[in-house]
Amino acid sequence: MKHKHTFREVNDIIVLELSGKIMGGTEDTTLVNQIYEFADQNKTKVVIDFSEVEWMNSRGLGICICGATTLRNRGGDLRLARPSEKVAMLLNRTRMFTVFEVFDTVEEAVDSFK
Amino acid sequence: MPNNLNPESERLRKALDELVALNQIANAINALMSVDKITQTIVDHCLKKIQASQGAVFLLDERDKEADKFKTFIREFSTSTEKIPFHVNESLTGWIIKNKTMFASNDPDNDDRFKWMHLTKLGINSILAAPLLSRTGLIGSLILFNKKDSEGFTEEDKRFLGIVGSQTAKVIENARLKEQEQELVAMRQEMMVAQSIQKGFLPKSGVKLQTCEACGFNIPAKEVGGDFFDIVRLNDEKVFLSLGDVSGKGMPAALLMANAQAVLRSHLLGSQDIHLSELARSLNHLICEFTSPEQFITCLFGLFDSADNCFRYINAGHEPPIVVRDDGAIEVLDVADIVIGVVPEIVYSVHEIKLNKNDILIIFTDGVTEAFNEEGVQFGDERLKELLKGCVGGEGASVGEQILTTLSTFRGKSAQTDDITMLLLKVS
Repeated sequence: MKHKHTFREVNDIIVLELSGKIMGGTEDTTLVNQIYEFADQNKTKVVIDFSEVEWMNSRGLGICICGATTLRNRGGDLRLARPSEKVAMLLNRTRMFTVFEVFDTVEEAVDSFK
Repeated sequence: MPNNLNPESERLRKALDELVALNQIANAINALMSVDKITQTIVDHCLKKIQASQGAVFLLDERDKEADKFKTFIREFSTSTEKIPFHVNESLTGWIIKNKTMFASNDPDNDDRFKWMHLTKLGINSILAAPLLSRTGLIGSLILFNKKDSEGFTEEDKRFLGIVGSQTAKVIENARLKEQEQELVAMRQEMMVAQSIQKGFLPKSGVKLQTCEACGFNIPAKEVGGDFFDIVRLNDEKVFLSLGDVSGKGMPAALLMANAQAVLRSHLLGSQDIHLSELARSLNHLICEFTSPEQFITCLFGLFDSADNCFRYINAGHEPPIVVRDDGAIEVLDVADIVIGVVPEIVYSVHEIKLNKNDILIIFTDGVTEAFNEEGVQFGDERLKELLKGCVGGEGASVGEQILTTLSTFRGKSAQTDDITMLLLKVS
C-alpha cells in the first residue's frame, strides 16, 4: 500500500484522512470510488486532510479534480486541509489553489461549509 | 470353462475399447489447440464412444470465481443444433457446481434430484455428467444427454466420462494459459506498434539556427508515455518549443498527448505570427471540452526569437524551466498559470526571458526531478540545480546526456516510474 485512507463524519461533512503517497495507483482508485460512494449517499461535502501525505504527483491531483467535479455536480465540494510541504508545492506549481479551497486546519475547512 | 472365459474376455474387450477410445482422444488433442477446439474434440469423441445423442461442455469464467456461478458459465459447446434450454442449462450447471460430483440419471423425471426440471418434456431422457476439476477447483462440467439405446447410461459409461473429465480439466487449464499467453503477446505487439507511432510524433532531430541550437530527449517509463515535446523551426530566426506532461499513464495518456501535440502543431502550419495566448486558450478549451475531469496537461510552450534573443512562453502549471547563465548563475523561471484542461475560461499570460550568448534554457517534466533512488529519496530540484552548475558553457545535447546519466546513476536499481522528457536550447 502506497497510501491509506480513513474517514470520519463531522455533522454532515466527511473528513478524509490520507497518508502515504498519492500516485494514482490501483489503491488510489479505491479513493476515487470512496468519493463516488459518498456522492451516492448524498454526502457531498468532503474535506481531505493532507497532513500525513508524504508525496503526491499529478495523477494524485487528477484524483482530487475528479472527486471535486463529482461532488460539485451534486451541489457539494471537495476542500483541502493541512497540505504537507510536497502537496503545497504541487498545488502551487500547477496553480491548482485557484481550483480548490485550501485551509490551514481541518476545523477551518469544515467550518467553511457552514 | 468356455462359459467362464466369455465374461472375462468380454470385460477385457471392453477395457481395450475404453483404452483405445481414451488413446484416440489423447491423440486428437495437441498442445497447440484452442480451448474451443479441445472441448469440441472431447465432446465428439465421448458421444461416439458412449453413443449419446447430444453433449456439451460448460466452463466457468476463470476470472470471476466469486461471482454468481449460474451466470459465469461463459462458454458452452454443444454438438447438437438443438440448443439445451437455458433454464435446464442453469439448473444442471448449478447442481454440478453445488455437488462437484459425477452423476447419471436414466429416468430424470422420477429422480428426486431432477424431477422438478421436467426434462422429458424438453426431450431429455437421460443425462450423464462429469465435473471438470483442476488443482484450483471446479472449472466446468462435461454433460452428455440421451443415450442412444434404451438401457440408458451404464456404470462403464460413467467411469469412462469420469476419466475423460479428470484429464480434460488439466488440458483445458493448460490451453487457457496458452491462450492468455497469446493474448499477452498480441497486446505486447500492439503496444510496440503504439510506441513506434508515438515515437514518430516526436522530432527526429534538433533544430539549429544561426543564433541558437535546440534539442530534446524523451524516455518513457512505460511502452507508451504521456510526455511530449516538439521543436519546430518557423523561419531563420524563430523556433517553437513545446513540452508537456499528460496526467495518467499508458494508452489514455498517450492518446491525449497525441491530441495536444496535434493542436499545437496545427497552429504552426503556415503561420509566421503565433499568438501564444490564443494557442493556450484554444488548447485549454479543447481539452476541457473533450476529456474527463481528471485528465489534464501541464505544459510549457513558446517561441525563441533570434531578433532579440528572447524566449516568450506560456507555462500551464508545468515545472518551472531553468536557465543556466554563462556566468554560472542558475535562474528558475517560476511564473505559471493553471494546468490545461481544468478551468475552461482562463486567460494564459505570456512571459518573457532574455537569453544571452552561451546561456542554456532547460525545460523538463517532473520525471527528471521526481526520480526516486533505491532508498526512496527523490532526485529533487536542488540536485538538478547543483548538476547544472557544472554544465556552464556545455552544449545542449551533452548537458541533456549528462542529466540522463546522473539520473540513471541516482536511481540505481529502482525502476523509472515516470517519463523523462527534456528540451534544451543553447544560445550561440
